[in-house]
Amino acid sequence: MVMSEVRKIKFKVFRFNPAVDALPTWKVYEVEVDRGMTVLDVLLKIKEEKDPSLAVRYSCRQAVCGSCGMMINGKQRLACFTRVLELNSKVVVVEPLNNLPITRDLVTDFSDLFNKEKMVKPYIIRDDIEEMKNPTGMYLQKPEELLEYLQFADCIECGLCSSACPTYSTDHLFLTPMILNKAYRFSVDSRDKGLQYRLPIIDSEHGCWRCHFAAACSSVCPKGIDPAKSIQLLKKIITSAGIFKRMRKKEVQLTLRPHAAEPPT
Amino acid sequence: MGRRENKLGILGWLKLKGYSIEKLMYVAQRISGVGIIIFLLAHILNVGLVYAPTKELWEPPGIIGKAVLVILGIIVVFHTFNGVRLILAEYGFIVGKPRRAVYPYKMTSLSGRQRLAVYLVLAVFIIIFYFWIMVAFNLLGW
Repeated sequence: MVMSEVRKIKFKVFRFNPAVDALPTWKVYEVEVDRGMTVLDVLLKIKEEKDPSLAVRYSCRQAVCGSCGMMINGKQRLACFTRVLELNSKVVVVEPLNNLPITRDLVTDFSDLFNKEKMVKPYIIRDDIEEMKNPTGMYLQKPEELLEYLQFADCIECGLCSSACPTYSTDHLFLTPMILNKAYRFSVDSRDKGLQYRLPIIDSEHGCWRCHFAAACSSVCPKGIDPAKSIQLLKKIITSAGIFKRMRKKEVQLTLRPHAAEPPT
Repeated sequence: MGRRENKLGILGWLKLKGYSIEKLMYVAQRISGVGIIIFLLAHILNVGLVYAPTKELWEPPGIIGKAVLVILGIIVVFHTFNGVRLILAEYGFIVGKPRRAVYPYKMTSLSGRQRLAVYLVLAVFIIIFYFWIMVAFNLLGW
């Protein structure tokens, strides 16, 4: 039988409403925390029982949507993926993510990141436009081709890596790990032919070469994406493409659907 | 009242708690790089003043001058070896291959060959640090 282990923990929560406040304030709430309760559970409990004005962004509560990223005890974490008692501290400090503008309380504005994401064209680009418009077949991939990008495709865009990045804290225009990981995920896909269109952005002054491998992104990633690895591998393929003029050799071939050649009846 | 950008600035570089040793190496690389540039500028100024206006002969450095040179040697050694590690990492040679993200997650860029390279750099740095000080202050009796 699992014993309940209720403990009283103080939550020091960052409060700031740009419409009213000139400066942020801290509020301390004492909450009874049970075994298995996450930081998000506690914040929602505070919202329901103590202070309904607390702003928190969340959706799935199971580390899939990437909405509840925040600074918990000074480190970027997902609130729904962090158990309070595992933090092993009597006071838990909760702040909005560093390096991102604050919308209100613990909610940060991701529009800068999403605008940068659009710039790197996060979709498969091909040159056979006729096939794209009227598909006749499939681009089948081998398991090893899938493995090239599968790890990086797991990204939930929670922004923890970008918030932890020391380069982003001083260079506002830096593309950030989340976006560079996205660029690599599509550029290395064997169906994609779009690296040349992404190069002007990712190979720029504020692109991947601004990354100096502090690996803070990988140490906070909650999904095992390893953005530090994908950025370094991105540098590798850019170097191959730029210096050695060697683009990817392997390319998927179009596999026609069995009845594609037959005229429709 | 106003938007709050929440940028950490340089403090974002110095925040080490909760992150891996690679972040410490990153900060050390930056500080040692700045240190080398400052020494270079001071050295040019120093050499220029010795020979051009004062016409004085160069004298061997005293204890403070020696200490500065010892620190310079140490940071140059660190900067060089860590720089080699960074070149290998940044061109994707030691960060590992893509693999499935299976829980519990293990980041290959924070373990394996890359982490071994970090420990190698630190080991070489400590050994050279030791001998450098011993030789500089004539403690080996050579």
